[in-house]
Amino acid sequence: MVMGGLAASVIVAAIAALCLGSQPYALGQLWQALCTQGEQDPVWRVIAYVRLPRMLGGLFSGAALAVAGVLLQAVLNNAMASPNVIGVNAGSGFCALLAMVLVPTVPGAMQFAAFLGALGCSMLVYLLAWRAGLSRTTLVLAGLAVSGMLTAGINTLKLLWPEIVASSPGFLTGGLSGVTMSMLGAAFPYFVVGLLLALFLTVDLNVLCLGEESAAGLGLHVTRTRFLGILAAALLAGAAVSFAGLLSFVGLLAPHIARRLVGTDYRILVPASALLGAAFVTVCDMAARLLFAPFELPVGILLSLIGGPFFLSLLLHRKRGRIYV
Amino acid sequence: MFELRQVSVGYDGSPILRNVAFAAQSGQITTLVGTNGCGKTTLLKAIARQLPLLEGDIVLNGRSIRAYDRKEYARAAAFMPQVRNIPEITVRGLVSHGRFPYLGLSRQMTAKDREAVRQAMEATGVQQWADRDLRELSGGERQRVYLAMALAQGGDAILLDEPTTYLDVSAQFELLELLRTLAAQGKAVIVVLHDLAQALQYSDRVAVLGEGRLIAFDTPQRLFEQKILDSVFNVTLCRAPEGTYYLKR
Repeated sequence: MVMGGLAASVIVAAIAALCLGSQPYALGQLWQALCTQGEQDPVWRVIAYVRLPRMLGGLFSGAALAVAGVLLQAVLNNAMASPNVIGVNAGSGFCALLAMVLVPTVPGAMQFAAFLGALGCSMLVYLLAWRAGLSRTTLVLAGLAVSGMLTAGINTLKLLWPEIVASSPGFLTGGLSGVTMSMLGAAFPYFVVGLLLALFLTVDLNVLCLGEESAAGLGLHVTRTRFLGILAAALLAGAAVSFAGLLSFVGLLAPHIARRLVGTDYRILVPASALLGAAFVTVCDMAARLLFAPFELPVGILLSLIGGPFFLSLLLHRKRGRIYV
Repeated sequence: MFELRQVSVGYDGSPILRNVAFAAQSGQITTLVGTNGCGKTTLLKAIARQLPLLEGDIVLNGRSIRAYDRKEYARAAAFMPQVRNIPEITVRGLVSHGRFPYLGLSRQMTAKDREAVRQAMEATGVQQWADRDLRELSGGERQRVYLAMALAQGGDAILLDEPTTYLDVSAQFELLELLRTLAAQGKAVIVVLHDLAQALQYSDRVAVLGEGRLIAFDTPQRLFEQKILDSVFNVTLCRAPEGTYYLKR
């Protein structure tokens, strides 16, 4: 029931994202343009080269970051964890930019670097949480420190190699304005593998939620499950960062709202978060394009404006901030 | 049946208990008692394979527990730790997790699994709450649900770490009686208990731990007669005419 509603909202958001813009099209026009498939048709060109990649970028990045958020929250047992909060996005972005500087001509290098950066950063935060026994809030602070250092690194790269700034203007805030089909294509394998791995892990994550000792008592390989969860989160976050930059708070907002809607069974929570995140980013990107037309906000700014207060309310209501109260 | 052979357990290579040897039989409740910090929980964790042994071996049904594969061990012995999360989940959902060690790669439950879940809920009397949220239940009710999950694992042994802590007195007795029932059905129950009087009342064998070793392993009756507990715990153990144990300073 809820899942149906979520799926419907994704479809509506996707169609609306194709229709609405500086030049709005009616549904009929959209259908006609899709049927003609002609390079000469201006409507087809706008849709195929601008709005479709952007819409798909919104769907993929939203779904990817939302699921990455769910996974990190489960693995770290920390409701405030999400790819941007604990510095995973920043790590991914830093490595992606580094790859663009060092090996600009190698195809796929940037996406792979984005994945490696996300993986390295999540492992670092996990080890910090585990070895140092960090509390929930301290973990967020540690993530902030990691995130700050990596953002400084990103800024340094941009100063030293200003030409990559030109190629990715909205990278730090996160945006979908320059997304192309080839960028999506390069990130797609990471997205698919990450999502499948996440879906495969759902029952194991349910068992992990019972607590480490109970889970081990049921025969779950706890460390391996955690590592696979982090791996999936890194694949997804890396995929999103490689084309959408450092989108913030999707990975926090979507899982929390999804949890309110469908509960904490990961078999349902993971797909629900994916749908919710996809619809959410697509709608936000649409709003960012339309609100101040003809000017356009990067969607990352809008997400921060919505996500920031939400994050603060989570911090303030720490009792509710636990996943498993 | 569990057999501990010259077992040493501890953390980071330094043993808390050395050379512990006893056997916990099927159909019996074997209780571990001792003063705080004596290592009774550590020993139980080692039996539950949550902690590697420093020395010696533990044998379950003729095989070293180290030779079991993770899920195979979970199918043979269930472990109820003292500290657990209380997730947002229905009673049936939680008991179903007891079948996790039986699931294949697809992680789908079969009809056989569902039947085992139903039986476990019936045996512990929790089927009446099957669709309730675990968090709505009282501590004692929750504990029965966790016990149902342990039963659903289907093994011959159940290991429990201080299952009566945080429970009302009547709920403590209910839980201990349930453990007696399970032992009567042939399970090997190994339990860490804090309350000496209850331990003596409900156990078939008691392992008294202290001074870094196993001080005594015997029936409650013999332990009482030999006044072993009196010296270990620095109390006077008495028995009322009807057989109930109680403690005096």
